[in-house]
Amino acid sequence: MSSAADGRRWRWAPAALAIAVLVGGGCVAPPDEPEVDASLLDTPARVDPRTYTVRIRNQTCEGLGVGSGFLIDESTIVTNRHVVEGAEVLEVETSEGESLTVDVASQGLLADLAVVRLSGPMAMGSSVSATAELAPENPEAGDALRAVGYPGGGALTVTEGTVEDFKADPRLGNLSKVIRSDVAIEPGNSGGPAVNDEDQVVGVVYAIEVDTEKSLIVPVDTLRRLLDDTGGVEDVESC
Amino acid sequence: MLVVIGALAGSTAWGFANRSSAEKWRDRSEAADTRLTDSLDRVEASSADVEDARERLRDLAAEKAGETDRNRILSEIVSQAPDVTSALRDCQQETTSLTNDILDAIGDPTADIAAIQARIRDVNGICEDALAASNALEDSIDELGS
Repeated sequence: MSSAADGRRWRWAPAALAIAVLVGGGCVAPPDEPEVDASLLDTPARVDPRTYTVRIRNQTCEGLGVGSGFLIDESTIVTNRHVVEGAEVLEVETSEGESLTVDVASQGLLADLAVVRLSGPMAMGSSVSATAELAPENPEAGDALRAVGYPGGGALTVTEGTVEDFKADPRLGNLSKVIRSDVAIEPGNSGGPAVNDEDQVVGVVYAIEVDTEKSLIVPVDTLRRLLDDTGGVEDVESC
Repeated sequence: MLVVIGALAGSTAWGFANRSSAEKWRDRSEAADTRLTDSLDRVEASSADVEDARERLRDLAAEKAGETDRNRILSEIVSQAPDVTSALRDCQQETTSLTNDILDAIGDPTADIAAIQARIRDVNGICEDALAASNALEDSIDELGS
């Protein structure tokens, strides 16, 4: 009785062995976890503010002036009013030496801002691969910012600092507030962008406070108001 | 029994074939990872090269812009120079003429003192303008040197 039962039990042994071979033979260890760092491909493309910051040369009857500006679209440059004031000839160059042809310049009536229109959109293959993105709102005290421009009319630089506070515009009194910052600027930085950590433009560099030597920056909401109000500008007239 | 053994043998053969195929796919996957890593390294190296090249381009553009500025200032100096020279010459001639008038007036009881004083004011004005033009030219020359 027991030998018959053993015989039945051993009859399934080859089948069990075959199934074990089949399962074992058909399996392959998966490849090791790949050590490929593909984060480069996932990183969102950021625009270097230096690519859209331009150098503005203003020839007036009183001499030559140099300032900064930045492209907000393919044919519009924002800068300071005092950078383009009295211009007989305005020349604009990108940081990589490409000359852009100016069509018309308009200066803001209520802030030290100006808008320069190019005679046509930039050509394909231009050294300016992207334009500035305006921040949705003004920065707050303590926020980091960087000023991009051409101090002294020399090479393009980026300086770092923080927003200290807002104060009445020394030119316009309480009509308008400006950002006061410890970011280092010099004459020539005027009209250049001040950008936040996300490379969004939070203001336009425009002056150095005489008493404190702090930088004064027109905030982005004032710039937005100027861009939205076509009646807030007048054509620049040569001296 | 034979049918079962045959089925098991077939299944085993299929299992080995499957394993072989899986091994090939694993090898391909590993090779693809290696190629991807190489490509990413090359992209990173190329990005760094492009950024270096752009940096050099910016330096050259800054140099070119500086030279253009200096040329503009030099042109201004060249165009201002004849006017400044002329203004200084006027100043010098007027001063000489005024000096002669003053010398003539000395000891002359009929001399028109009020007219001479007016001339002095005029000559001072001419010379101040000439000096201002000369200072502006000097500033331009200084700017050129900086």
